[in-house]
Amino acid sequence: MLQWRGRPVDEVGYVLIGALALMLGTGAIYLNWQQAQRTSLQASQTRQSVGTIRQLLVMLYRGEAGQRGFLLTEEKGYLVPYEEAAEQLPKILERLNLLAQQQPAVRERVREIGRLARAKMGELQTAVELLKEGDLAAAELLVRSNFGKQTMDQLVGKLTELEKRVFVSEEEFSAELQEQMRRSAALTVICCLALFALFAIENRRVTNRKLAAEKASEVKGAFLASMSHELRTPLNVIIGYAQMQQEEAEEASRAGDLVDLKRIESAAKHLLVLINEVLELSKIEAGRLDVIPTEFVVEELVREVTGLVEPLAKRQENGLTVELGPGAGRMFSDATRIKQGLLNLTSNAAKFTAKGTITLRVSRVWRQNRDWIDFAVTDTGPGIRKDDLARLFEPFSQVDEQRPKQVGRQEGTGLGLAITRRLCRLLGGDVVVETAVGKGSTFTMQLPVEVTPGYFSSKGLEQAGRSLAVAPGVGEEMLMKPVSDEILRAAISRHWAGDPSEVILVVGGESSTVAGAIGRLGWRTVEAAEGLDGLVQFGAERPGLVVADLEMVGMDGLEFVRQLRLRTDGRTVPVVVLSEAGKTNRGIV
Amino acid sequence: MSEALKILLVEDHELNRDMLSRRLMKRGFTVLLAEDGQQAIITAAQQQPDVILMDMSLPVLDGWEATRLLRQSARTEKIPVIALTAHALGNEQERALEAGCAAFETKPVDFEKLLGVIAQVTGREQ
Repeated sequence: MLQWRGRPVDEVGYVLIGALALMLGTGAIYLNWQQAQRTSLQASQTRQSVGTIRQLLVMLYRGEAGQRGFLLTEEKGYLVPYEEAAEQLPKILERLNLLAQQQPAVRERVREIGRLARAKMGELQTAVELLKEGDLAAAELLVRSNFGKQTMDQLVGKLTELEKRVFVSEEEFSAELQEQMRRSAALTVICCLALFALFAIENRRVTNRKLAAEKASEVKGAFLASMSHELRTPLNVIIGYAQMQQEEAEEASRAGDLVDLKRIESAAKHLLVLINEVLELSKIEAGRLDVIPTEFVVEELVREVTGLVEPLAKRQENGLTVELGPGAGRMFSDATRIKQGLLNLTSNAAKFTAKGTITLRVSRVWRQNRDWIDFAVTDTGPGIRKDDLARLFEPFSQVDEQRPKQVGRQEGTGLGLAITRRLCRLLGGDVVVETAVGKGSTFTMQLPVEVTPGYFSSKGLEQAGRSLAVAPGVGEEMLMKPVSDEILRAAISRHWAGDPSEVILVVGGESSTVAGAIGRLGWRTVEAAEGLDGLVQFGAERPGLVVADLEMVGMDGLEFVRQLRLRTDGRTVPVVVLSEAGKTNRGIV
Repeated sequence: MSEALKILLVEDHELNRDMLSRRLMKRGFTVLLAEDGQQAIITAAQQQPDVILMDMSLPVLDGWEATRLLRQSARTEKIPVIALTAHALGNEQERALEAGCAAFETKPVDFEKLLGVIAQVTGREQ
């Protein structure tokens, strides 16, 4: 599929369209809102103008009434409203002027009204002055000249006109305002829908990916289970018939047949053990082996194992010694898996040693700032040659020359050590070997007293009644996916100085997504989708740090890190490991 | 000597059925056969065996369901069921016991051990 930064292009398209729609939508809403504000401001200013003009008119009528009263009675008291009007008029005119300046549409009309008001006031003033001077006839003439009435009529006409206009524009305004509101509402709805769609798409994408991962894990599990069934059924038949025939051969005293039938049975049983161990190994590799930690007394576990190993040791006349150091105390780990590992080691020792001694030594040690229990199994067997050591923990690597002659090939499957190592790593520890040819070997299971959270599945944790904490101490560090940019940055910074001449190698199926995230943090990356490609890239780029996803096709993350550690140039490079949260996690070298 | 123990062997795999039934008959048991879960419950109700050896992965009606039905019927509820399965993974044992099986054996069957279990659940030595 076409990809962009690790996502299919059609998804990127959706996201882009969604983001664009959102941006346009919010922009339009903003502009619309601004316009609505302007509209309502205009309406309120026009209303203010009308109010001011009415005030003006009232003032002029009062002035006129005062003037007329004074004209008729020559009572000075009538002049009070007139004088008030004369005093107020300039202020009102000024306010009107100010409002007119803000309203270009009605500016001319307002100015005209101002002019008329001043003219009317002038007429009133002249008449009052004439009266005060005693020139009653001149004043009367002026009033009768009808000039004042004309001015007043004009004023009222102008005002009515303006009011009508204001009324009309108010209607227009409110219609416009309503329209703008409607538009805003529609845009808001569209934006919300776009946002919702974006969330829905993203949500589905995440869910799909999770479902796919779960499905893959389920398929793997179902495959293992049916493999187990399919392989065991015919074996069951072979072993059953062989046993039945043996009984009959015994009854008929056919000794020759008996030997052959025993061989068939024993080969079939060997195959069965082999199948069991291969399945066990693939279960571990597939991350389907749940570590279920419990708290237990180490001494009790050792006693149990000893009981099982004793008959094995005696078979080749070996002595069995158990040395339990003081303070072994309790462990919080998976007792079943530890027993399984110990049984593998001790039965190996018993197999390869004859008339010697097998020693199981258990001690509690403080190492690398942690509490460990070491289970050391020492034999006085043939020892292992240096050349064979490297392959020792590989599946099917049993060292042929060192197999004691008297032990039949069917005794071992060559998987015991491989399984033991993987089990130990599953528990956060490892198996190490010391050996001297001709003197014997010591295999030591080094296990943390308390199994590290993150080494076992959330299911195991639930059963143990503990909560999952962030997993420390695997590779350099193990992070649970999905991992945030911040956590990624912090983890990388902890293990790498950030030398700009170096790159970060990102290995795994989701390498482009992870590399994208690291790129955003400002570091240069090289990607490899598969482990093999990762090793090639490592040699070519000499990265300063490696980020490895445990889930990848072909060589898995665990194997990749192991292979990396085998290289002379890959021994010390810091490795940050990514693992699916909730999955059984496997330890790293 | 009392009458021979009547065993109902439920197994869909032809060779396994033949092999196990022949071995059981050689030991003096009376063996009834069923190839699927449905046949098993019908035969059990009609023939009233002393014990049922039940393969769990069966066609038509699987061993767990068949055992559950046997436990629900008054005519068969007392007949002990020994579960046989080739599945080594998972929680097969728990599931079998939950369904009402009296015992659980993993295939390939350890024949002598199986005889011991039969004696134990029926309370009778053959």
